[in-house]
Amino acid sequence: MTFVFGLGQSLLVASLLLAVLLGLSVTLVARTWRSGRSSFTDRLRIGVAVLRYDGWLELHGVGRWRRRDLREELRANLDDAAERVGTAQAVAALGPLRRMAAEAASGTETGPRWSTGAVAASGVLIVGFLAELIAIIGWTGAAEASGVGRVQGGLPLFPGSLATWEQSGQGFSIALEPGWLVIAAVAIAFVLGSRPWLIASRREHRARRIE
Amino acid sequence: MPEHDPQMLKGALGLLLLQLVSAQEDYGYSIVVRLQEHGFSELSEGTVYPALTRLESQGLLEARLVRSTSGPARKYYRPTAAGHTELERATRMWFHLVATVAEIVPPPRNPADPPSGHPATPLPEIPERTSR
Repeated sequence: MTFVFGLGQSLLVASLLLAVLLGLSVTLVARTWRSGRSSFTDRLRIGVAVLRYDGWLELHGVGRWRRRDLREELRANLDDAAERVGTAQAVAALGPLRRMAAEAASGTETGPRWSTGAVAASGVLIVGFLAELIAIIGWTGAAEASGVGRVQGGLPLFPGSLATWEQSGQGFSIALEPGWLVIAAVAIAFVLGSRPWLIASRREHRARRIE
Repeated sequence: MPEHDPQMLKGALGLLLLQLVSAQEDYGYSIVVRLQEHGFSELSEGTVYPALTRLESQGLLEARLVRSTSGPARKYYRPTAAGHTELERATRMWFHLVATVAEIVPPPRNPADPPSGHPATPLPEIPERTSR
């Protein structure tokens, strides 16, 4: 009974937190603190379009400050268009935001995509962690069956990893060092995702502009 | 009014934008409206805004923010010195192309006129553009 009550409380707190986060996000996207003639729904619609545009620009490697400029410009243009033809039509006139961002990015200096790299690295880390978790389940069974109080060894398929199983009282404890394979995979995913070599092309682009 | 060929329009878009902001410093949506008023109804915001961004990135346009009473600050564009030079070059190239094409392709026949192997109307004179 206590467990059910506890779960209900946790769910309530989680729902409240989620609602606050959602409300905060919607407020930020719609910029409700701004005075203007457009309605809340219109501002929200424009905010969502601007956010989506920003997301595509980010994926094309457009830098943070340049993206901020492009976001503000689009917002101002959409505000103006919405006043003239209505928000729905103003947003629809942009066409596919993905294509618009690709075209805007084609002449803009692009650089490393750190956030893409971070997402790729996180994905690999999670997959690596799950794979090691599965591997350690089998390894623990073998360690327990050995009848020794403390077993230490590497996990199969994970070179450099070090697992330690120790019997303590009624139960046992496990410690794991992930090994170089997972760390290397995470690092490679980050490098491939973020493309740090684009720093050179950004410098080249700036040099060309100065000429 | 018939729609314009998208490929041809794409090639001339930079020239159109440079000319418009050269005649009058302007911001994105207003440029779209001006283009549409000139008969380019197929040129939408999704085409014009990235083209302005590209011209700015190429150093042909420069921009400044102007506060607006109705909303966020507007970004007004005007050509740079390189933009003016490019406008003159592109204008010369455009009229050269039109003149060369006109030497081969006769103007379209008026449907009311009797069929003839020769052009029904004389070729239009190509205006000369003086450089600044």
